[in-house]
Amino acid sequence: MPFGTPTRHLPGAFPTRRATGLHLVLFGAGLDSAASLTILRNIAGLRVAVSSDFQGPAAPDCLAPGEGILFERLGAALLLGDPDQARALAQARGSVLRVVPERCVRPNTLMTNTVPQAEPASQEALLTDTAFATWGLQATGALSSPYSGRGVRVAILDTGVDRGHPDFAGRNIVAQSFVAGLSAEDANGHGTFCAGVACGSRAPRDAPRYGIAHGADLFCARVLDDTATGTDGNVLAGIDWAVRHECAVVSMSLGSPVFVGDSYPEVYEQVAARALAAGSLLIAPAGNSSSRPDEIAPVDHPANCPSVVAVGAVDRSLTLAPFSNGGLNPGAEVDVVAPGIAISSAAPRPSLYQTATGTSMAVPCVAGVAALLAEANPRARGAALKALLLKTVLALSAPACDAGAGLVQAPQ
Amino acid sequence: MMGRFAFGWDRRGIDAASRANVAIAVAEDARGRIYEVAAVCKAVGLEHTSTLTDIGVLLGSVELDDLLSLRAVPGVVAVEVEREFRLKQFLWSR
Repeated sequence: MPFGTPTRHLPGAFPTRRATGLHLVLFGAGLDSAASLTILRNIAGLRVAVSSDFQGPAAPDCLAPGEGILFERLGAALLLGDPDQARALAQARGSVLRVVPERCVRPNTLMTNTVPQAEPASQEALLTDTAFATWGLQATGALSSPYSGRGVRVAILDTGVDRGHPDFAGRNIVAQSFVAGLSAEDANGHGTFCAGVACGSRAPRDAPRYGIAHGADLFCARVLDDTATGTDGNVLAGIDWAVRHECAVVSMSLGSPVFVGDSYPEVYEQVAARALAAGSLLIAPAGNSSSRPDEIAPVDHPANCPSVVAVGAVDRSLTLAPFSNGGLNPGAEVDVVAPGIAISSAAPRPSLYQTATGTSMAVPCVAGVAALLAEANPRARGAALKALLLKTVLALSAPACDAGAGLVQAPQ
Repeated sequence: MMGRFAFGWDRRGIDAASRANVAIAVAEDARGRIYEVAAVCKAVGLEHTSTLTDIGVLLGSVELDDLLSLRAVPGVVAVEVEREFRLKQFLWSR
């Protein structure tokens, strides 16, 4: 495939989600159990049990038509009702946030070691790594973009960075650790990988080109330790540092799982909104807990904040990755997608290069594209840059709650 | 109704502990006096460790019994118990 001509074939129809025949009802956060029960019984005419009444876990599969279970802790209910009952509940505005067909979901467990392989929709649509560039750069149009992110500051909040990597030679890199007792040097590899995808060299020493914003200034904050674990305190300190240094783009390939029915964390939403107002756009992964099409998990924290760009992953046929989380919770939809399967990038010395899979890998891709957009549109910062990012996309056939606006595209 | 709906923070993982690390968002109109807000938070039990002025956040730890008092401090808009983060990648090959 020639450079600069990324495949524009759209993948085939996204596999239909497996519905269970039940409906999930999400109540407003201020509604207590008694009020929820009243709505279910009086508006929908359902016979309702409360989950805490069960000895052991409540079992939705024993529901008979016209029955439901209220999950008090979640502010949600499952019901086996007819369409009229579901419609009646959906019209109880102010009390009921959403009524949706139930899907199989896995609420909070990260997958490890196994990678579900998506069937490519079309052999024609497959992108491949070439001797010159990774497939992700082809898919986003980064190769043919005249922009490099020059003059744009990109923050990578992660496990640090290997500043001595030969592919980063001559680059402006500022590194700071927010993890007590550890330097900003990356002993894990994740941070160096993400820095490479977002801002790696145009001409790597011994690999195809893998970096997007090769002219951007890198600000790498270590907020995760060598076991790839961190805390809110580390991450918030890193965001504060990035905002103070006027980073237009903040890439955070980290998250923690949430439950279906959870609302977004208020502190992070405040922080993300303030960062936007200050000109910094926060970008985070949707999470890898799904096993599509059967099981879809909700978008992780902090990507579930409305002011944070939530990123899903696609494969080489531009089909949604089977592990990519979806927009199950109100306000926590996926905003955009980017390449996230078999992505190659930098590794700390002496390895130099590595390949990885996950929505973590899609985030720095979006960050790199955002940096190109920021260079091309010097007045677009914060919310304006977010709007531009969500507008400069290749629309995909996957549902908007799972793929957002579509696949990010570099400015041409 | 459980804590997160009633009080605005997530109680998961803290029930066995008596003290928790917290992040406190200071209200937009109080960001100019964030150190005064921090002082009042300390008076109601916050062990204050960091002030993130560019995003208007205080970090520290507090006895769980003092969480409600912290939430009620004028100028505090949200209090959340610290979560743990992990990477969002699950396959490496080198």
